[in-house]
Amino acid sequence: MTTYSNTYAQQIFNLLSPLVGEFMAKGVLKSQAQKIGRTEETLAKEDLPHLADDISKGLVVFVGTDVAQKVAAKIKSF
Amino acid sequence: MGIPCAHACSSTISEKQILLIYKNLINFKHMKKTTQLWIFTALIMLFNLFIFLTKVGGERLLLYVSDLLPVLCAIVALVYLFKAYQQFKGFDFAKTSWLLTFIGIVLFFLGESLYAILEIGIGSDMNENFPSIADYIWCAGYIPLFAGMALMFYGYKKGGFPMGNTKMYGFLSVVIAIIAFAVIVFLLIPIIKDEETDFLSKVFYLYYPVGDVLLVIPALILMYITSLFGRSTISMPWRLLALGYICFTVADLLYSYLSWQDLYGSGNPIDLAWNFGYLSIALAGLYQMELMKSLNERVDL
Repeated sequence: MTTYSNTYAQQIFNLLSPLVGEFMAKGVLKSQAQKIGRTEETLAKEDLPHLADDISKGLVVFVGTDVAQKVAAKIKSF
Repeated sequence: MGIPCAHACSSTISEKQILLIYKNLINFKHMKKTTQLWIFTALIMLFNLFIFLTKVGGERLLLYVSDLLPVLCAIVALVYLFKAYQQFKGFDFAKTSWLLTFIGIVLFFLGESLYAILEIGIGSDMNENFPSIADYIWCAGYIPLFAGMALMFYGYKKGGFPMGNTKMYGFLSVVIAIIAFAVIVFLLIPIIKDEETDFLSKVFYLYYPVGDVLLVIPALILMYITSLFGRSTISMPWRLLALGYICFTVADLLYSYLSWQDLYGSGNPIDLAWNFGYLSIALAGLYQMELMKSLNERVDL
């Protein structure tokens, strides 16, 4: 089980891994954090809205806009 | 006290056995729908294989099974695809691609039904009367199926999720090039050169393999992408869709070759690949429906 010392990264990982699998959750966190110039361990509260929207865009094709937006809202609430 | 066996045999079915059958039926009723459909798929495949191998019931039963089983499998597929489509609320990439897949399978179902009507009902020789109206409908079905797959791939790419190892795309390109080369050399060129085949038949003989190769490209890419997700529930529908299309491709390529050589007849084992293809697509729809239901019901989201 992957663990992060960053609380936000861990919470997002815990939310995503049952949905997309551990490997993909890790990959998504890494790539989306890189997009906003961060790493998983340097994520801050102010990064969450941007990160949530990017993750939501990736989820749309699998689960539709409605569920993807729910996941985004959950990430923003961390 | 036992109940007499239905066959003319001396053995009896004990109450314990009846209880066991009853318990299994109850268990089946309470099984997850996906497990039930997997069992149904396995039973259909076993039945199909049994009929082909034993030829019990003669040529007539073989013809009925060969023509009607794909109709049944296509119905199962379109029912679950529609249920999956209904689970999406907003009209987005996901909903549109499932709708296109549904439309494609509806057309395939119509093609299968017309083929069965022509062969069983009217007694038409399908090899002599190629292409039939069923072929026109099947060919039309490729367009929404391909569009649905392409839309899924485009949506995934646009979503910015990891695409995986570039080396793997190189390997996939080689696999696709080999398939395309084999299709061109062993099927397309000989069909084009064949002077006994009329122009219209040639168009259809060529359409199937070309359509299949075009369909298998996004299917292989999606198969690879879903492998990145491990055993996650989100990727299962895509994995099964890709598997279904790969089954169709294998069956269609063999059908084109055998049909062109006048070797295709009822009871050909390639029918198994079509039936499994439809049921894989049905399973994809069911997994998507179950995924959406569970996500819509999750209170923590």
